[in-house]
Amino acid sequence: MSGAAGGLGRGPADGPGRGATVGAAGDSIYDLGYRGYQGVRLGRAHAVASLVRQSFRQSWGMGRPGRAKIVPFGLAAIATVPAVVALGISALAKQLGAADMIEAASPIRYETYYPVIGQVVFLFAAAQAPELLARDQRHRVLALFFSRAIRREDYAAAKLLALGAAMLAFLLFPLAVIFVGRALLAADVVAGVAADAGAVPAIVGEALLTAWLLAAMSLAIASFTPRRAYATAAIFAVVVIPAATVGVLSELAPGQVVGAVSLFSPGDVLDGANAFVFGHAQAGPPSASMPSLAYVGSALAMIVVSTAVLVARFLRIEP
Amino acid sequence: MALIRLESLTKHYRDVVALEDLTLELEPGIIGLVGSNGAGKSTLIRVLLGLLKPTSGRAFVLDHDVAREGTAVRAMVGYMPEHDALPPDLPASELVAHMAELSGLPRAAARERTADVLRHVGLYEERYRPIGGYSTGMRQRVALAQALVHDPRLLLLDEPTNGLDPTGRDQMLELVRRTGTEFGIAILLASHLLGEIERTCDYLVAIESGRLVRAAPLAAFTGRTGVVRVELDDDAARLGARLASAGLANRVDGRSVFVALEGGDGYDRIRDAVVELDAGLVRIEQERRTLEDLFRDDGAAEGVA
Repeated sequence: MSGAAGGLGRGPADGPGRGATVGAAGDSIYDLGYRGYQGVRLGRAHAVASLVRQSFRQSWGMGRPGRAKIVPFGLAAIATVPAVVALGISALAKQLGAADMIEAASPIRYETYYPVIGQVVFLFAAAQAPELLARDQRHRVLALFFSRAIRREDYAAAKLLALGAAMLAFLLFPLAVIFVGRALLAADVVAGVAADAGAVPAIVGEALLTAWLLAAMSLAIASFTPRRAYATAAIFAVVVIPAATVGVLSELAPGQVVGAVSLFSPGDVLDGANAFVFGHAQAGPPSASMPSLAYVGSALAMIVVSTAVLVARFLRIEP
Repeated sequence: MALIRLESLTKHYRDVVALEDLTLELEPGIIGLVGSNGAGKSTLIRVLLGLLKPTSGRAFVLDHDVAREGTAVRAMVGYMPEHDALPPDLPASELVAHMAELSGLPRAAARERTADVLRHVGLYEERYRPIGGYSTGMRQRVALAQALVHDPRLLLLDEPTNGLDPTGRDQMLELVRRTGTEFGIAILLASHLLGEIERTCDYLVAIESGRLVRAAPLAAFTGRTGVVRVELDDDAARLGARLASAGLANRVDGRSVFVALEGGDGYDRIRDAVVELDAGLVRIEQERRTLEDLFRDDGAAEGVA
């Protein structure tokens, strides 16, 4: 389809004479390389898709100098290290004939993986959400975006989709490594896949929840400042301060209060939701046991509020 | 079909009036929008783009209501903002291609149009370097290129010569003029410099404090005045006195005499007077009004009223 579209853009004026004009005019502004466009115009959906693709690449530093790739890919590597180590140990244990023992004792498995890499996931959101928004406000590029064939809410939605997809990839990659690794290590590959397949809905479900929540929350915060560093600090504060409060409170005043407070801590909420998707009815900080479903409810509420704030911000912002 | 139609368009920012009851209909062409800083030029352009909601009244671009069909309007319009709006980390080629896609062009067509348009504005090898390293002149060209890349029906240019040196200014205006005349793209050029408008446009809209001062073809502003300027190579006082005694009202200014002619044999009488005095005649020319005169006159008229 893109080939056909390119053909449409090529007008009859495209001939050898055009090149001669360039040569004659040199670097002069009087050169005429201009002709009209009679090809297809795909409209808003195409425009939004293009913005999503561009923003997704931006969130991984693609198409930028190497510097921009260090943080996202470095964090992704760190998030994958536990998976690789766990697989290595499993392989070793298998050679030594102690596979079952290691399997039972390993702290790294599907249901514990997201809580283990939680901090790295937050770091990714805190570092890359401002990457997607700060420049457009700081250099007033929003004026160019908002004067295109999209709406303001499309801009917000495209950024959310892009960062959400980037985070989904970030979260699912290490678990995919474990999944494939375990299948290859199993005596019977088909049986190995079948044994792990049951965990897939939980893995994907929690990844979706985490990606959407953290992407929406960090973008909503980042949309209020053109300064990258401030945004990163603010996002981290919103995650760290409630988590620390929950930690301190569980020491000082264990009980239901801590449980209630933990419903406002994104880290605790995601851990609680993780417990729910892996079939645990109870979750929460050590001193307070809460129904794990409450955390899923809290996560959904955070998603709704963050998304609403993000869209509202771009509806009001002066480009 | 009207290019732009405004119906009692009003925009207030809290207690500041930016646009007051503008009613106007413009046909396609190269239209100058002139007014001092803060007259409401940028506000009007941003309302036309659907970037700002008017307080009351309506605005139409190519018969589309900007408030309700903003996306359709913006797909047909190219906008060059008054301020610098370019991301420093992207090369011009990437930015412009991305902007083309955001206007609905398919990917391959966007790349091709980007190459064409950057060539049109005079950017060559530099297009692959990040914009952060460009000169002001180059940045303005990129800004124009991104406004043109989707082949709009209307270009909204907000002070496109901002920050340019005289050469850059001339080149930009020439480029705008050619884009309007040779490619049939309608242009609304906002500027606070009357000279720029006079050189580039064929229709003029003057606004002041958000109100319409006048909208008319440029010729109506700069038509002949009925005054003839006679320039000598020496002091013109004697000629002035001679013409006055011959019944021709005039004003002497250094080596020139400005004579009001009301038809008839005025030119003959000037010639005769010059011959009688044996003065060195440099030239006789029709005085033309300039836009500055218009604003001066209006100011004076307001002062009297």
